[in-house]
Amino acid sequence: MRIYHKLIITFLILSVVPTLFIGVIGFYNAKNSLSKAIISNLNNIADGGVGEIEAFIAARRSDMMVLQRQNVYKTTFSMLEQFDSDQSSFYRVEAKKAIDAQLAVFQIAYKYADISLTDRQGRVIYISNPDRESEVNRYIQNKDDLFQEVKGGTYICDVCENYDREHPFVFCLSGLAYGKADEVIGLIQLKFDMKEVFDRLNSGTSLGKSGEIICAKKTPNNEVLFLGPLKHREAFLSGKTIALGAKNALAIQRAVLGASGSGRSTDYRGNSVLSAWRPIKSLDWGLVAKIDENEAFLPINRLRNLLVAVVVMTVFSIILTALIIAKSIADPIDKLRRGAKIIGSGNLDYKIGVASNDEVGQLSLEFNAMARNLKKTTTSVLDLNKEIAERKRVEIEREKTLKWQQDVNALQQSLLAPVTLERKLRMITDGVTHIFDADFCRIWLIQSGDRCEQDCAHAKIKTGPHVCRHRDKCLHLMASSGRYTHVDGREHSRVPFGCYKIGRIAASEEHKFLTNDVVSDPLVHNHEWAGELRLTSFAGYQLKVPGGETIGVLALFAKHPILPAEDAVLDGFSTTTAFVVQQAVANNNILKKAVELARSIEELKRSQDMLIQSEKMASLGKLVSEISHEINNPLMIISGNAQISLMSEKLGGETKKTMELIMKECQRAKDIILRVLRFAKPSKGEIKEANVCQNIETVVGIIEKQFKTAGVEIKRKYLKNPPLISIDEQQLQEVAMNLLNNAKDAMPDGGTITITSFLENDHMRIDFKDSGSGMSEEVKRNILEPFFTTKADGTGLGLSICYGIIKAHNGELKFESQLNRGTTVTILLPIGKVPLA
Amino acid sequence: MKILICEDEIEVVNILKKFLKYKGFDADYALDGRAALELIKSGNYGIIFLDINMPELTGIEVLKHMKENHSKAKVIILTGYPGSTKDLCISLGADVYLEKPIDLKVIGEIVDKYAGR
Repeated sequence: MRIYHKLIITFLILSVVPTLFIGVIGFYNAKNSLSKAIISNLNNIADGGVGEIEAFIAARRSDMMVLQRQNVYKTTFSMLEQFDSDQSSFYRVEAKKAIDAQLAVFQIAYKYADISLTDRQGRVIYISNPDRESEVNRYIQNKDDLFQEVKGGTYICDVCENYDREHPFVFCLSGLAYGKADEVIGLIQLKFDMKEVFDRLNSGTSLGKSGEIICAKKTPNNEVLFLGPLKHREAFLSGKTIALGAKNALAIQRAVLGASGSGRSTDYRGNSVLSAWRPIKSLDWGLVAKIDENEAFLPINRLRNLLVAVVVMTVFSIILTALIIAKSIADPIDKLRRGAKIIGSGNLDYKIGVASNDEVGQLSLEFNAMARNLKKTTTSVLDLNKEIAERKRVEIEREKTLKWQQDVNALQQSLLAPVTLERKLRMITDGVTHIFDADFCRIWLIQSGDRCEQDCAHAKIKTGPHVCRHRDKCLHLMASSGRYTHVDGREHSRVPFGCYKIGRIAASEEHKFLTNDVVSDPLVHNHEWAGELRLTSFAGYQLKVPGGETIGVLALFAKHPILPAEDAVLDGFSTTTAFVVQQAVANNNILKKAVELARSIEELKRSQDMLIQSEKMASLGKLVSEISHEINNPLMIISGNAQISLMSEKLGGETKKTMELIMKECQRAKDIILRVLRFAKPSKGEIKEANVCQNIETVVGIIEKQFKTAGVEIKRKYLKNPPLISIDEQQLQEVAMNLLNNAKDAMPDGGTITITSFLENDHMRIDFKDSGSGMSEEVKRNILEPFFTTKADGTGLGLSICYGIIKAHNGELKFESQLNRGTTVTILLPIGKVPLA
Repeated sequence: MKILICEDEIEVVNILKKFLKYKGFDADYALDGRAALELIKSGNYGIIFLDINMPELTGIEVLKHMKENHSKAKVIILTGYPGSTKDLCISLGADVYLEKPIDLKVIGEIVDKYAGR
C-alpha cells in the first residue's frame, strides 16, 4: 500500500471515527432525555385525567343520592303509575308538574340529558326530556339485572348506544327510588353526556397533534370497550372493542386489567407511541394518555438531521485536509522512490527533482550525488563487462563452430561405410538435422524425370512459373529427416528444375541461398505453412562436384536463425556431400555392374552346364541310336532264330525252354534299349492339357497295393482344382512311377511317401517325399548321370530319363536329401500352354 | 503273292525267308537299297519288307522312289532305330513300322491279312 493511501486512512481513522462517535452518543442522550420528559408529562396527564373522571362521576352519584331522597316521588309515583294510560288525566298532569319542578333544576344545573322514572315492573313512567316523551310506558331491557346491580347503591351502565346522534357518549347512572316507608318503588335513571369531560381532558393537555387520552373498560367477554372518542378514528365511536391480548393498544389493555405504568407501546392503530396508563378503580375503567413517537421525537429528529449535516461536512473537510496533507507528504517521497528506481535500473544520468527544503528534498540531493558517483564507478565496470561479454561470445561461437566441424567430420567419416547411396543420403540428412538443430533437412538429386507420363503433379501444370521444362533434369527427393521423413510424397518427391525454391536453387547462378526470415521471403512460397510451423530460417546449397556440375540440392528449415558460422560449415559440408554422392553413385554403379556380372557369369555357367548336358545328351542319343541299331539286328537274329526253332515240332522240352528264355531276354534287351533311347532322345508323345495330379494318382492306383505289401504307405496332399498343364501324360506317369519306385527302394524296411502338389509362382510343384535312407553327397552329385545306380539290378537310367522328360516339358527336377532322414524330389512344371522343348 | 525282303543282314533275311516259307510264301531278297529298287521295278511284289539302314540306298530313299513310281505294294518297315523314323516312313507311304527284334507272330498276322487269308 502506498504511503499516500496510508496517510489518508490514518487521518480518517483519527478524525472521522471520534466525530461520528460523539455525534451518535450526543443524539441518543438527547433522545433519552426527551423521552423521559415526555413520559413524565404523560404520567401527570394520565393521573390528572383519572382524577377528573373520578370527580365527575362522584358528583353524579352525589346528585343521585339527593334525588333518591326527594319526597316528591313518594306521592306522585303512585299517581303516575295509576294514570299511565291516560296522559291527559288531571292527576297525572299534576303529578308530572310536581316532578318536573323538582327535576328541572338538576337537568339544567348539571346538564343531564335526561332524567327518567321507572316502576318496579321496569315500565318508564316519567321522562324529563319532552323530546323523549314517547318512551313513557315502554319497558326497559334487563330490568331484573338492573335492579340487582343497583341494590348496593348506584350503577353506571355502558355508553347508551343509539341514545342520540348529537350525544354519542351518554352514560346512564341508575339508583333505587324509595317510597314513604323507604320501600323501593322504582328506579331513577340519570343520563349524562361525558363528551364534554373527554373533550376537556384532551384539550387541556399538552399532548400535541397526535396525543390523546382514551378511556375504556373490560367487558365480560374479555374485550376492551372504548368509552370515549378516538382522535384518529372518527368513525371509531365509543362502544367499539378490541380483544384482550391483541397486538395493538397494549397500554389500554394493561390499564383495564388494573395495571399502572408508562413507556413505549403501540396504540389502537398499531403506531408506536409513548404512553402512560392508569386504572380508574372506582369505575373498573382504564385510562391512557399517549402521544405518537414521531411527534414526540420531532425535536430530536431535527437535532439528528442537524448532527448528520454537521458530521458530513466535518468528514468532508477532514478528507479534503487529509488528501492535501497526504499528497504534500507522499508526492516528494514517491518522486524520490521513482527516481531511486530509475537510478537503480541503471540510468545514472537521471536527476531527482524534489524542490522542497525539508528532509525529503535533502534526501533527493543525496541521491543525485550518489548517482553521479555511481556513474563514475560503473562506466569503467560496464566497459570491462562489454569486453568480457564480447570475448565470451566469440569464444562460444568458436566452440560451436568447432563442435559443428567435429560433428560434420564424424559424419563424413561415417559416410565411408559401405552402405547404399540412399542410406548415405539419409545419414547426411539425419546428421545435419541433429548437428544444426534443423526442423527438417532434405536432399534432392538431379535425375531424369521418371513420373512425367504417370502421376507427376508438376507435369500437369501448363502455365505459370512452375511449368516443368526440363524433363531430363528432375530433382528427385532422395532423403528426408526431422519433421518429415518420407520421400515418396506425391508433390514433394519430385521438383522440376528451375521451379519452386529447390528447383530455383539448383538452377541458380548462386551456389547457395540463405534466409532468416522465412515467413516473408519471396523464395519460400508457402508463408502460411512456415508461420504455422514457426519456422525462422531456410538454407539451400547446391551439391557441386569437381568440374562445377550441380548434381542436387541440400536444404534445411530451422526454427532458429542460421548463424554465419553455421552457414560456412554447411556450405563446406555441401561440397563434401556432393563428393560423397558422386562417389556413392560411382560405387553404386560399380556394385550394380558387379552384380550384373555375377548374374551373367552364373547364367553363363548355367547355360554352359546346360550346353554340356545337351551335348552330352545329344552325343549319348546318337551313340545310343547307333548302338541300338547294332544291337537290335543281332537281337533280331537271335530272337528270330529262337522263334523259328520254337516252330519246329521236333524241339525237345529243354531246348524249347531255352529258346523261350532266349526270346524273353531278347525282349528285355529291347526294353533296355528303348529306355536308353527315351532318355537320350525322348520321343514326342501326345501333348495335351491334363490334370497332373490325376495322372500321378493313376500311377499310385497301380502300385499302391504292391507298396503296401512292402510296408510303404503313400499319403496324398493334392492341390484341389489344379490348373490343367500341357503334358505328355504317358511320360509324366513314367516319371511318377520312377520316382515312386526309387522312394520305395530307399525304404527297404517300409515307410511313408508323401505326395504334395501346390502352386509356386507360375509353376505347379509336386513333391515326392520319402522317409528313407537319403543320399550321400556323392550320390547327390551323380544322381542325374546316366548309368549311375546304387541298386544291384538298376540300369542307372531311371532318373536320367525323368530329368530328360521334365526338361522336355520346360520344367525342373530338383532333389533335397539328408542322409538317414529321407529325400524329397520336386517337379516344377510351368502353368499354361508351353511348347515342349 | 510275291514278297520282297530288303535287308542288308543276311541272317535276318534267312530268318524271314524261313518264317515266310513256313507260312507258305516264297520271298525274294535284296542286300542293299539299289538292288532292292531294281527288283521292285522289275517284279510285281505284293509285300515288301524294307530295312532302313542299308548300303547304297537307305530304306527311306527306296520308299521315296516307290512313292514316285506309284507302287501299290504293301511296305513293312523293319528297323533297328526304334521310333526315330516312324513318322517319316508312314508319311512316305509305309504301311507298317516294326522295330527289331520283331515278334514273328506279328509278321505272320500281317502277311496273312495282306494275302487275304
